[in-house]
Amino acid sequence: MKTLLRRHEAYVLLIIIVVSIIITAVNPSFFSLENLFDLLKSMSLMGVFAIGMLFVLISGGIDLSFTAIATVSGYAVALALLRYGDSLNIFVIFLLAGAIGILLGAFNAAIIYFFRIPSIITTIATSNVFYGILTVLSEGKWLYGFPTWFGDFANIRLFTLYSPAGNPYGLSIVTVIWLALVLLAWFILRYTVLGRSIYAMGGSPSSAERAGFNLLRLNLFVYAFIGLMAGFGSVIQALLVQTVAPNSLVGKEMDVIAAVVLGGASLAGGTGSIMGTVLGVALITLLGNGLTLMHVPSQWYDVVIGLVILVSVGVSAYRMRKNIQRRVITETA
Amino acid sequence: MKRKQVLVRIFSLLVMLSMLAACTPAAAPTAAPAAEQPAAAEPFEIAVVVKITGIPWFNVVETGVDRAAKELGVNAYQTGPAQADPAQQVKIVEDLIAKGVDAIAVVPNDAKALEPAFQKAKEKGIIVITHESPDQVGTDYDFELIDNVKFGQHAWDQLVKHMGDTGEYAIFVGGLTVPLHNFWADTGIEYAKTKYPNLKLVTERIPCGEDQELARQKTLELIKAYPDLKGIVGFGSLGPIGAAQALKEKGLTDKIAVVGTVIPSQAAPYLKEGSMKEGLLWNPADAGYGMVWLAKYLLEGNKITDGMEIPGMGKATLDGTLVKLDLIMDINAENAESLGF
Amino acid sequence: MAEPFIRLRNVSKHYAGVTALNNVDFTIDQGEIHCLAGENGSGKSTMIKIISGIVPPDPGSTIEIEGQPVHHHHAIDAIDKGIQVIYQDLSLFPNLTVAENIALGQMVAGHVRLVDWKELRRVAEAAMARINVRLPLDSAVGEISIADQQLVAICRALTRGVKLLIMDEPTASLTKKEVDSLLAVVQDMKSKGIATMFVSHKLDEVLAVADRVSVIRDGQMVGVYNGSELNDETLTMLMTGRKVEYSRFVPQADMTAGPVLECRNISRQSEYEDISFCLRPGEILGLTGLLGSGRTELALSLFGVSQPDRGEIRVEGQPVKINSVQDAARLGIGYVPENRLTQGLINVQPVSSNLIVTTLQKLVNRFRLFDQAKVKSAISRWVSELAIKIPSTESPVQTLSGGNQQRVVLAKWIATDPKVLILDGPTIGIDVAAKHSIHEIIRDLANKGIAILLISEEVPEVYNNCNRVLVMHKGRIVQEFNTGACTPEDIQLCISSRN
Repeated sequence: MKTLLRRHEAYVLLIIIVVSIIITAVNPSFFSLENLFDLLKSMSLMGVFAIGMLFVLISGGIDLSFTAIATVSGYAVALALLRYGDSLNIFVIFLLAGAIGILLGAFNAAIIYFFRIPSIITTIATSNVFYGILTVLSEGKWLYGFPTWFGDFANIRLFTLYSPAGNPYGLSIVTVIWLALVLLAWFILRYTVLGRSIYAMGGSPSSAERAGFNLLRLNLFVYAFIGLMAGFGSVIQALLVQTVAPNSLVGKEMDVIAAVVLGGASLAGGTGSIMGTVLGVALITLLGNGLTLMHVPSQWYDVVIGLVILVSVGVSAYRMRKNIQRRVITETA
Repeated sequence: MKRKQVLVRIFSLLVMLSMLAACTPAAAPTAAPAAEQPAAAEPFEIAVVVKITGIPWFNVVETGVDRAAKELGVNAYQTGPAQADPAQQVKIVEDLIAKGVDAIAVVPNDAKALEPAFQKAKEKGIIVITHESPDQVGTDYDFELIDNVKFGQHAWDQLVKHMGDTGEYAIFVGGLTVPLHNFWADTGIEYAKTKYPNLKLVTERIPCGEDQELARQKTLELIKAYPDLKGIVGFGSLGPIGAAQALKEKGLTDKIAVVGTVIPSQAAPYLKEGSMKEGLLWNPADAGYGMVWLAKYLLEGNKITDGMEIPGMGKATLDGTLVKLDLIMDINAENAESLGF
Repeated sequence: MAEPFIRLRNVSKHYAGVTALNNVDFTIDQGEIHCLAGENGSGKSTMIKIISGIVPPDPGSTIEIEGQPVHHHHAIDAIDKGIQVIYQDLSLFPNLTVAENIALGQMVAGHVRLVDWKELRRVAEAAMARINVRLPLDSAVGEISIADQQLVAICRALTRGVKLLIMDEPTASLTKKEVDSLLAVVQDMKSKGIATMFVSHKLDEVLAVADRVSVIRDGQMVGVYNGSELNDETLTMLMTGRKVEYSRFVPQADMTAGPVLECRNISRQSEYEDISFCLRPGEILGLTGLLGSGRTELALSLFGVSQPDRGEIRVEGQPVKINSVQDAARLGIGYVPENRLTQGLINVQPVSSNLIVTTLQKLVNRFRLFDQAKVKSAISRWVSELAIKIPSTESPVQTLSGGNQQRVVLAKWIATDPKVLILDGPTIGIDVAAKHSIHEIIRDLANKGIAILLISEEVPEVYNNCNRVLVMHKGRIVQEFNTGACTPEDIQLCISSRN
């Protein structure tokens, strides 16, 4: 399975390379450091959500409420910024958003665990609850006009380069935050017993229970974690656009799930890797970027992205089946 | 999963629509002819039913309604459902009919759903005015603040004003299925063919006008794909802002001009720093005021005529039951903060 | 060896008025290999659950472990005291590696927070070394054979300081060779003082190594015997409480009649090679061979699930192409799959729906709607004809016992009036008495002129029911036996000598 996964990631990487070559052939400006850094910045929001989604998918669940959670925590952050603006700093903002995310995520976990309601149903319901309450309370109001420091933080680059045309670019702070979270997630999944237990639970929940794993704790962690990522994502969203609108994230769940599945995670649980997830996010972002750069009319975006997901997930499923078949045959022979 | 997405989409669409009402062509309330004359001392009761109460756009509409009530000496007030729900709106209209108000002005959630209620209102002699519903059946008059053809053309005039009449430009819309945005875009493209033949549209309109982050990304991509790009017209209130952000990020605010529909207070900082050049919209308060004015005018037994003057709002054109004003509002660095919404 | 490892005294268990165990006394000595034998429903599972602390026994029961009475025996206490259970499904994590499966549980129990991959491999290797096995540490468990998975489960138990290993039906899905190596491992553990308790209803291999055999029937302990005093037949009698005749049956097929099904040199890439045989009406043809010998793959081709690459299949003398299950059904070929739970039945649906699903077309009236009278009579006919024991025809199939489920599957296919019926492992996982009655049904069907292809890895089953037996090995038919002129041992020898 491991080699298979590795193979799947290699496969996504291959598609990325092929797509990149095609785009570059049509428009060489794609293959520039500037575009690379811009792409990295563009990926960050989906990338943060995808980390959370990866954990949930590995654990054998799914969470469709994370955009609603992000909307709630984003809204709370925006209100705080507008009210206490200059007395806050970015750490407090992340802390606040993260705490709200964790709380709402834990609420999901509790319902899923104690009432044994499938996660998909639970999170559809809680998504509507979170989002509905917010809509009622906020009256759909958009929030903007945040303190200058908040806008300035968003524009921090670790280093700044200039394109031949004189456009500034560089490694954005937003990308750095995302990459830091990627590292954290990789460490948890790879080097903690907790991380391996999440894989175990996703592979066989009944075995996990018999082996004495604390399923409540694992569920709490997983859903609180995606809540945390949703909270962080909401801050990143606010940083990127300097506006918080109640409707700006809801509806993006599918893109995130598509990216994670593209990266090799299975909806059945137990598989998936951080590397694959990053590549999945990269591929989806790349396609949107590349289609514009290749002067493809916008009507075709959804079609192309859908087809690429279909082909790459399809091919990998086909290869897995082939593999199993070959195994049966070698055992037979 | 699919269903959920659909639900969410529908839900967000509803919310968006209600906000879009903001960016959509202003519609004017219609006034219904006065039914029975109320006792002389009693002021006319005029109810304005909006799509959804409590959202910023309609809060501004309400200020217009309140101003009209005060200035015109009528009992005018605003009401509406808590969600942009056609059924709830119909119910509210029916209750008002039962209550026996003199006129009802409605910003419909669903034009068709309201037809039976309007029929009932007519039977009781209640005046019905609609706003943002040009093809409404059953209304006495539909009141529009802007002419959509002129609005589309005006956007291109703004664009040319800031980028010059020669060069490449792109269009953002809220979605490829948002009728109004695409109508404006169609009109503008058609207009540019004859008026500004040296403008060159670089690609199909891009559906990112309701997603600021997406608009930002698309702008970054456009810059690279079309290095000679000189202008962006954005419909949908987040498109121009996302574009402005991208330009600011890349230090290209002097090279590329962004114009489009925006909420003035949100666009103010971008207009001031120059990353966005100019916006266009109409003032929702005018819609509130206009609807009430029209209602009172009709209740007093007056006739609407083509070219008549509405105080403070200019000349109206009459086209069947459509009362149209030309109140396109330019939004720029000077006025953005003072408009009150 | 003064104290037994575990001693149960007067242990009873009642579930909502049903007596699962009644005053059972039971002991396992340190390092003993002990068999617990009983039919399905005899109380075996309850015994496992009580010993492993999953359910508490009734008050008045006493359990002693290493001489100490235990109260409030919970699952976690049982594990602490060295009792580990390997369930039939093995409870492994198919997506994790062998090493992780062996060592992760220990880490979780030890509240370790970080994974030291070197340490993890060391733990796994140490466990494997204790029972002298070598498994690929980095392979995912889902990709190794069932037998190896079982060894992984044993290694995992070893990391937790096991003193008594309970194995539930450990040999059910293993080949003969794999069973032998499992038994070698168990004997090795015995030499290290670890006791093993096998729980089974099919004990032929296990009897050979057992020190003692406890037989349980209807919640009562029948007795404890030395492994050497029992054989298959006496054990069956103790488990069922009656003597089951292993009668031989020779189908009275007219061997001069034209074959109803005939295969001529059919092959399918890496599944089976050059298969030829014919099957006549009323005949029961046995097809045996080890797991993976190609017998199931061949059956699937006859039923249209896969197609042979080469060769010809004839039905009643006419060459046919069987491209789909529908084709097979149209040609009068019925198939009762090996895994009755996953392939033959819609588990959550009631018996009635399952029974008629193959014959829907015959049960409609002239408006193409179901004729309720026809439906009812068809259902009751099959329920009585096959003696399916159910509280109601509306009970979901999954609530039935294995034997009754098998009958439902059979009924479903017999209802289509098949000319040929392919039975793949029809008695796997069901108890001796149910097995016997299934055999009766098969014989009845043959007497009615249906040609039957009986696929089974149990040599006695094919020997006692068939007139001819084909032995498959590595995708080929290696020998044909006429059961009138050979003994079961001949067939067994043919199979194992190839291995």
